[in-house]
Amino acid sequence: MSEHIIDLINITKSYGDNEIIKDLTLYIREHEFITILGPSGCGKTTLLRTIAGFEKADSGKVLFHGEDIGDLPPNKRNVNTVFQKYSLFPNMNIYENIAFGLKLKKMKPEEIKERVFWALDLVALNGFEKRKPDSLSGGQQQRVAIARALVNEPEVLLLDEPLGALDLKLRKEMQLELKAIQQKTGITFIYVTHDQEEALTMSDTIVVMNQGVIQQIGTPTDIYNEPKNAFVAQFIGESNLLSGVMLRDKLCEFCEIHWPCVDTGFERNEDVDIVIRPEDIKITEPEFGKMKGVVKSTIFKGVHYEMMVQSDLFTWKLHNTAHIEPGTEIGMNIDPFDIQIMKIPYNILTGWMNEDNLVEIGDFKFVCNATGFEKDETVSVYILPQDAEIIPLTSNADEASNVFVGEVTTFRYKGDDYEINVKNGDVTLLVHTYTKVSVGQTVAVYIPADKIRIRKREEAEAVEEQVE
Amino acid sequence: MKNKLNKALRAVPLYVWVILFTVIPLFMIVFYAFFKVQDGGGYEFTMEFIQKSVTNGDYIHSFLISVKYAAVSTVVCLIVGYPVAYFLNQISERIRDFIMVLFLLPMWMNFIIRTYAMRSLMEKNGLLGFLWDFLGIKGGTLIGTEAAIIIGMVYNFLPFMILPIYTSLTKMDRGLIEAAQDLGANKIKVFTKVLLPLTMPGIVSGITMVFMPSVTTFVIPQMLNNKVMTIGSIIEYKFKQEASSTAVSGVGAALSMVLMIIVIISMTFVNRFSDAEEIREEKEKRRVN
Repeated sequence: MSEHIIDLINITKSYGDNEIIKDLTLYIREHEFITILGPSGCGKTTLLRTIAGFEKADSGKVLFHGEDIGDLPPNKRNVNTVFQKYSLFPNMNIYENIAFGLKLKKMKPEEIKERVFWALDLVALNGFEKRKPDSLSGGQQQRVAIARALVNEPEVLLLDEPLGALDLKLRKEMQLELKAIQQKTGITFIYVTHDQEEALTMSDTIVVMNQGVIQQIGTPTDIYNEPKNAFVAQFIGESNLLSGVMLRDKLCEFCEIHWPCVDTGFERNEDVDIVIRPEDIKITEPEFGKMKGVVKSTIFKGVHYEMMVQSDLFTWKLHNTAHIEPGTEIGMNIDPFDIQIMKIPYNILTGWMNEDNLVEIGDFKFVCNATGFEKDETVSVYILPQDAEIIPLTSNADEASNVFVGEVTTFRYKGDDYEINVKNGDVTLLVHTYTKVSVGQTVAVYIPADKIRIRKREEAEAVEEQVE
Repeated sequence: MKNKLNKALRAVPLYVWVILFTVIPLFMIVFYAFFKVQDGGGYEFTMEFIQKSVTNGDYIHSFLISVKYAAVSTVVCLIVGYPVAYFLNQISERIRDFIMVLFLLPMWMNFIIRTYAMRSLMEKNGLLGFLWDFLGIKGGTLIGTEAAIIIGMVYNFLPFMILPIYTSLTKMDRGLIEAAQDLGANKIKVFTKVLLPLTMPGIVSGITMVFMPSVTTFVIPQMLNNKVMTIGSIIEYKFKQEASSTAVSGVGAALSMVLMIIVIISMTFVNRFSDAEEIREEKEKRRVN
């Protein structure tokens, strides 16, 4: 295993009240192609800009070969960036653009010339040196941007969604080229994208991020086959996400059917999230299937057909190479190793102890079983999504004890129940419920006192590590 | 066909305007510069006025000091205006709009009234006059000094420097500054290699828009100094003097024409200078390759 080139330790970054990166720790190894993947607004670009030096973390350290570079300006860091919008200098031709960094290093003209032509050759743009950037196509400009960064032989190349503006065909070509360039030069690439396919194609390591927090780190295969939570499963590839119960080791239940699976290490009857990839559902004659369903729609996708199949309790997404007419009844089987079981993530909220057995979260007060805390002590509050309960909204609901009132921001059907996010100010609560609500609706959530677990801050961190 | 006619018709007011207020006056200036009214009526061609304007020592002296004041004011405007424009481009839209209004508000007032206001500020009991006194400069008033002329010009023409530079900054991709830093440029290099070349069009048009009115103004020097005769004052004086005697000033017209030609030549030179930069770069590139 090669050495760490960059260590990010407990990085936090906020803009105003908006926390972009939350206590993030990550290391990057030498010579690897690492992709930071996440939806827009997840903090991935901010993280990259922190490494480049354009943003300063509010707290935490950025180490480069073990040395703290947090206070170094961008021009003093041995990293170069390929910007999303290319940012080529319009007043200079391609040669001057690429030579810009070398000239600043006061390199000899002959040497500059040699290096620039090497870089042009690397990105297959020989003969373009006299052209102005605006006379080049988007793809060519992107190559110039890559050459301009690589010619300085940085130890780390940062790429901020560099292929975002290109069309699909060109993007695919560039993905392969970038990977080839990385292997040829051996430079560490840190690549930021929201395109999961791009990440799977190019990376040695993928870091999935959401809302400023790392969700999972792993190889593309790991991330795809063994998503650690519902977010990763939904974000990478297509999936069917359901609620289920782990009856005992290697046996789970969803859609009121018992399924053998390969997972162990759960409590008896523990609530879990279940992910099944559309291509992993085998189609049979109705009488041979563990589960029956009716094809609602079939769409041709090139390599396969994508169909929606309605079973008694869930609408399944299936990928299949044979065409099946809508209206046909089919049977469905799932192999044990294709059932991916995930622990349900706790809601981990920040609270303040008001007095013994009373914790304050946001604007709301909750009775709980917790003693031995100091007054106004900041604590971590653990609430399982299935322990929260939607109750009828009354006019004075927000004054009642153990009730959280907020707006529904996301809503997802999971076969048995619904998974919703309820937001009020900075606090977002994940709730599993049988009550149907809609996005934008204001709801009241009741959390029983005995379901609220309180931990001291340091203890909470230790527990989180254990979970990992 | 009809369409074309329509288009031509729509342009008529513009043509009328340009002919009435630009072409005819220009023609009149050229005419009066070369023709003298004869005693018995009728006109006679003469080079007398032109000769006077380019050989008279007083005129040449006035012209040179006008250029000096205009040049100093332009440089001051550039030094003050560039950072202001840069700052305006950095701040949030709300604050920017507010500051813009502060800049533009005085512009809605009459130029002469504004200069009068400046004048009272500079007088002995005025704020600037007091400051002048405080700094230990004798007299307690700014009025009559060269500094008064420069301050007056900068005060009046500064927005014309800020706005074009600001516009060229807003057109520039901010990512370019980051790209330059990323490639190893420190703040000075970012300025000389990226900011300055890319805002050159704004700088050139700012210089043009400040220098032109500064070199010809007569109100500011007269109201704030009243000792120095700038070329603008002489032209004004010539026209005023001879307007009372019904004859049109030949010398005034000739001076205006000469001044106009010199200004046009110098501005063409300034514009060429920025083009020349590009041509030189182009040549250098060819040599490199």
